[in-house]
Amino acid sequence: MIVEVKNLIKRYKDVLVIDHLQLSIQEGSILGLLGPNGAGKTTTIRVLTGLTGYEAGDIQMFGKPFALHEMDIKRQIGIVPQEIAIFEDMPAYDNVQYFARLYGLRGSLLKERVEEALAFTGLLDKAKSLPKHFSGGMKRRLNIACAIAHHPKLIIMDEPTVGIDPHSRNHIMESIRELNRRGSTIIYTSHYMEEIEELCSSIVIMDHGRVIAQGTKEELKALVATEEKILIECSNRHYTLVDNIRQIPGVRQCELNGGKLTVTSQKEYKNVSKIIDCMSRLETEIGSLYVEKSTLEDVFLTLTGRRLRD
Amino acid sequence: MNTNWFEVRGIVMNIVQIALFTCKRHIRDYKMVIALTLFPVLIIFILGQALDSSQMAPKQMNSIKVGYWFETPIPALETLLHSNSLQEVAEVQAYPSMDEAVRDIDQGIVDSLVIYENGKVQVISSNEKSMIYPIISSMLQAQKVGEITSDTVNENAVHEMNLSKAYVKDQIIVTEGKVPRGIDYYSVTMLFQCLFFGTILAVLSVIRDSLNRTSERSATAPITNWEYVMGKMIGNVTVLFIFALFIVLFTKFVYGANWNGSWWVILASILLYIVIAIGFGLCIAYLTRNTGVSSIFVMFGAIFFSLSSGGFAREVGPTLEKISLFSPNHYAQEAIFDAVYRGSSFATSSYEIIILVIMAALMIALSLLVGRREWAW
Repeated sequence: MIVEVKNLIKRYKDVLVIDHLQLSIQEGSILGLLGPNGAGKTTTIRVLTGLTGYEAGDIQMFGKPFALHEMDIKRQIGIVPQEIAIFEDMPAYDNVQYFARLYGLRGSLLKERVEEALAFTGLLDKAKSLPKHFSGGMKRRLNIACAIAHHPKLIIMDEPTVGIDPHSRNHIMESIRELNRRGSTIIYTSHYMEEIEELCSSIVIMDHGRVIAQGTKEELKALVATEEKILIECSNRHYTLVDNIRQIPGVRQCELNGGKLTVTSQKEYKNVSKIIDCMSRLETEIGSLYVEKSTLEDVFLTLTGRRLRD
Repeated sequence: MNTNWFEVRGIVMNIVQIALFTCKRHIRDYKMVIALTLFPVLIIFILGQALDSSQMAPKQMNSIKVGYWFETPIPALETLLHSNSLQEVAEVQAYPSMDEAVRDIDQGIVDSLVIYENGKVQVISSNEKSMIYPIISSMLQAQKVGEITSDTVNENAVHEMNLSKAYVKDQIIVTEGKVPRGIDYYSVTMLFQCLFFGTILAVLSVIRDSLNRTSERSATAPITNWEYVMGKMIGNVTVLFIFALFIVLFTKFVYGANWNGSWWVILASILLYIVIAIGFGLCIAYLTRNTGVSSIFVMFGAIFFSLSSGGFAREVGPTLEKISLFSPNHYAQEAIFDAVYRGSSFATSSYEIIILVIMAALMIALSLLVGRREWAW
């Protein structure tokens, strides 16, 4: 495990913001950290990056206790903060160079890594430009470049795609995958559920300072997926079709709207084939059939009782 | 041993990196550069010119009227009184009787009276123009003419005579280049006042970094908080020191201000003062976390320290004079005035320098302490 957190407790005055947090992150993974506002995600990140202290618990990173090897550990971490943290009045090159130097890079290696980071984020041709003239997406990319020039083993990204255009978002998403392919472990928080689904190999859901679920997206969905929604486009419908489908055991609901039939059924009954049989018997033509699976949003809603953006 | 060396090298490199970046950012801020250079240059020029005639510069000397009456003729003394050198500053006339001479000095027709009676020369003065006494005295002593005493016709005259000794005009005549002219004086006092205003550099560098979250990002890097604060301090001190050197050289070569003293004392005083000012700025910025509030503190500090130390007018009154003992401006200015006008060296200015070193050390410690807690708020 690249990160191992045990029984972490953090209070802000009397408010318990992290409550006996347990967290394990496997090397080489992309971990999605999900949780509503106030769940403790940002505080967890602040603790893991040494910005905030903690009352109790044990943090091991790269196999070393954080409290004893803070500087060594920090050298191997790159952080992409939620709010863009760059010097807007200094050229993009100088921004990356400054932070890379803080991580100990010097000389030709520094130059090479700075250029590499700028090229990686698609900003090499803007190296001498001032970020204050950049678009939101370019600033976000520079924000990432500043975090990766020193080739960190662990990259922590706190909502790196907030408020940017689809082109920049795609660029960033692809960059994250590439960083992961190159060997960096990534902790990724986002409000965009689809990003987490698309990107992360494992997901942690936090609420009230605790981890309430952890696993792959399939494992998490399995926790809550007891029903499935079957969407069928059909024609030449028999007038008893809806009633017949409703008679199938496990079917909770069946509605016909125009040419679209929506059936909600309990997953364990595996009713898709039975519905097709029924429609064949009644000589109904099937245009298309789609089984809608439960989403992370459903998982999140079920586990926390709130939507992610509430 | 190697590990320690690498650690120390790493710490130094971190501090240097932060300092250099801070310098670079300030110097790129051309509006700030213009403000920091133009403001002091203009204010020194304005104050130096405007207050020169009223407070600092030698006043035009009116010719004084000197009468003399000798009981018995003394040709040597008469020759002296009618000599060309004395004629340049005095109108000399002989009196036929002592009564006439005394009447004229009572009525103020003559300013001084030189009397020779019973083998003694006496100088009687009616007002501050009794400066004829030291002139005649020195002339007589040079010629070994005889004993000379001075007297005044009333108490006021004694008072006036004492006052006259403090006149810049008087001093200038005998000690040219040893008392600052307006431009000399304000080049020093306004330099320090403007340097204190320059503390706003430190305030801006801290608060801007906080607002753009780069201080927080820096805090996630493998550097300690004191390395960061020290880097900030050195960067700001360097920039302000460069501006100070520019102002010194500008006032010296363009305005002709007198900076001809020990450069060690001058540079040390300026550098220590800047450290104090920047330390103050860092503390205020970290504590208030607000540019507006910090600026008010800086402005108040700059004006108060400068005012109490004679930054605007040399005579500040006893209360402000006591308060000035807590002002870094006082010690920095004194060290420089001592160096320029009394020829003191680094060793002989040690009192002021030591006080400045103590103040600077305190401000460094305080800013590290405050910055350590607050740098990544």
